[in-house]
Amino acid sequence: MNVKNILLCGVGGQGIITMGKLIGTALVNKGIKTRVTEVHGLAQRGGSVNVHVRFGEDVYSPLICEGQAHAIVALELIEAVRYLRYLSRNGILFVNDVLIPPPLPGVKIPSRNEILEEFGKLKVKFYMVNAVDLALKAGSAAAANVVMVGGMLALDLLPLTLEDMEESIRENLPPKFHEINIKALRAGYEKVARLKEL
Amino acid sequence: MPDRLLGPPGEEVLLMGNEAIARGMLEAGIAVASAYPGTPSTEIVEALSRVAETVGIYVEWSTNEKVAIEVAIGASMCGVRAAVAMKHVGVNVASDPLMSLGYSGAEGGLVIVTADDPNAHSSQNEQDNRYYGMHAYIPVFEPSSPGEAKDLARDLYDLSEKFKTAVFLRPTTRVCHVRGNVVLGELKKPMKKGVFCRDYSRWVLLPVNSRRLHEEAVERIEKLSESLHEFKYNFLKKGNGSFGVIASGVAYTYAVEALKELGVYEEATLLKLASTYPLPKRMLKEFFESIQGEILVVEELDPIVEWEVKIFAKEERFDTLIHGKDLLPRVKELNTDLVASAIAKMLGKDYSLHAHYKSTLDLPPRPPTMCPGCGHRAAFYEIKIASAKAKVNAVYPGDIGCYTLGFFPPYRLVDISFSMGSGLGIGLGIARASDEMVIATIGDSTFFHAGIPALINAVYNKVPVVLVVMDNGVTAMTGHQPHPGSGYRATGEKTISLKIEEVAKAVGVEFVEVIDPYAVEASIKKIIEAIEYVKKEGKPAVVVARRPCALMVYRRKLRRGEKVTVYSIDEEKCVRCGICVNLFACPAIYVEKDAYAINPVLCTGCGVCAQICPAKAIHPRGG
Repeated sequence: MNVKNILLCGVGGQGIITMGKLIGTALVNKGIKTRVTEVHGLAQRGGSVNVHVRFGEDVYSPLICEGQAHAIVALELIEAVRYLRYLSRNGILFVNDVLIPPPLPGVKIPSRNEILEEFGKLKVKFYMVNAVDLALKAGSAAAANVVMVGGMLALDLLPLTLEDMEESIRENLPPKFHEINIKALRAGYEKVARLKEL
Repeated sequence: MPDRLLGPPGEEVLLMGNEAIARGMLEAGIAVASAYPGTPSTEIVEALSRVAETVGIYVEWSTNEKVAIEVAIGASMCGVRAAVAMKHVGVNVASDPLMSLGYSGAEGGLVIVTADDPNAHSSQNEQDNRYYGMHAYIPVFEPSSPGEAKDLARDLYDLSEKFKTAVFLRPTTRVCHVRGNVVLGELKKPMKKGVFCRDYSRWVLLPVNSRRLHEEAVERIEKLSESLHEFKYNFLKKGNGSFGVIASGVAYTYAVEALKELGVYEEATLLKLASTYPLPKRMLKEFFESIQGEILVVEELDPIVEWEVKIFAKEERFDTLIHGKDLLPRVKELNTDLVASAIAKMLGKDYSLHAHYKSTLDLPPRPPTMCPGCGHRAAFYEIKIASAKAKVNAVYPGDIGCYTLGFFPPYRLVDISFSMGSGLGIGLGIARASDEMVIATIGDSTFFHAGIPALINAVYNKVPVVLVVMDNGVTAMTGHQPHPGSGYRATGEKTISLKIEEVAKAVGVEFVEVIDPYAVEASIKKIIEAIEYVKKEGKPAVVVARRPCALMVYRRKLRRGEKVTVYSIDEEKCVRCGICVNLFACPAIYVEKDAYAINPVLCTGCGVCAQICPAKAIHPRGG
């Protein structure tokens, strides 16, 4: 079937729903059949968030089934582990090197090393960037989500060019954030393009 | 940025299901839209309020769903097209006028959106509102995608007026909150003002009219059922095999993908239903006549179509085996895997799920939390300390809103969460049926929605109970919609701001205090006073804990480019007592290698932690 499945995940407030919107807009602008679904409600921040992105001629359902995601793009390490079950056996795991411990008293949190070890056991293509650092250099930590979108383009996860995505940024975000986000997009693209060469 | 909602006809854009429904309503020329916010329905009227002034329509956030539907009914009685939207449980609140509406029918086109929430992603239950359609003789239509939701919302207005009935549009979370391709149609100029269509025989439900109207309602549904085989959103795809599948709503999309994945799409005879009450009987007959094998009914939640189809088959003497909830779950959401497994089972085929990774790591849960700087967190902390100081072991009925999160540790100050406004009402029963001290919490929007009658009851029946109103100025959880206390309307237009303390005094509460939860000591003192008053006087007391939503304030500051003075912990002074993390639990405060610290990115500078720190180790940064 002509379908591509990408699962985006992270923590409420990191801009995951905006990522879905940016990607979805760019895909629809190209006339590609697209479904992007999210769950929200129950407070605005701090919860575990996932967005399913599906596109291609044969897409009907908005939901990705377990083991079927061609890629998982995670803005946070614990959440990357939480949604691993969605990743296909030979998929791509692309993560932001950030660990946000849930603010729950007395709960054991896995360390960054434990999580990276876990990823090491998988037979998937693994890429990691520090999207927050790159976003800060572009002008705002809040653009880390767009850094990841840039990385997705470098990994050929989307049938889109940097220009397509820049157009979507201009369509979806307020004008004063355009420059920062376009910088962040390119930074993510370049960083991952270099990682790919290694 | 031009609003995508008002894009030119023919343009293909990405719209969320709810926005698509709003666009469909604009293409139908609605003049009035009303709603009370509730996930997953909120964005429909939110989108309409965004463009209300531009297109010249009337849009309101109503105090509750009952009022919202009444406003829409009034508009319909004037012959204009009206829309009302609510989450599934909102229909419970609106159900009284709804039942009468089923009898009276509508004049101007009237679409009631019930956004159902299989899986209860953000609701107290998974109720299936198709029952309401059957219960009230109001037809039910289910879209399967954002694009179809837009077209269906538009075309249901013609159907509503042709049959003089209100109709239910029932999207579910996986339509409401799915963004997808939508091809825009022509916007229709609304007929803004009508004339009240006086009709004693329809609008006055005295027994003499009701008995006749009941008969008419039954006939209306029969007549509609006869015409539905021509309704383009129902369709029949004949297959070259012997088996059949009937699917409705978003479950249709799972059915198509499941059939393709199993490689039996060409074989299957597939009946796609948009109208699930009543069923298109002629089409159903054709479906039965074109298959010899077994049938699977694919629908989320209750087996409503399955039951109707089984009755139909019995009446028409089709003895095909009909499957449904014997092969599919009745609870939670469906997906392609579940449907593929069910079809495979029916066909006696093997279907194994895709191999997937399982992590061996023990992951911490990540429930939603109150934001850093949230006034509710401070208020809960104060209620906890006040209860301890007043030596009461209280029962804490809660309600529905962000403050329901007071349920989670370390607060644990929500013993009950039922339905909008029920915390106080149930608390009254507890106060009367036991010797427990009752300290109920309710949000500002919920107070206006359904809290006031219970408060009047408390005054009238002299019930000893403390009510803390968690007033953050907006309906926060659904995305900051205004309410009667906010001072502005859905469109941003300025209006009166009703003060909760004045409402409480007006209904006869004698102990009414307003606190600022950011002022910790003063707030604790007032809550203790309220508890003492209730103990001594045996009457209700109201404390309004007022602090604007921290997230809203934070965003406003960001927009204006204002600086936030964040706090930090002085490691020298910190005695590592853990109160800030273990009792107050602000997400901005964390412990790393035994050292307590504040994340400057998350801190909003509320300063509450500085007040609760016994070692006075927390200070404004650079201060």
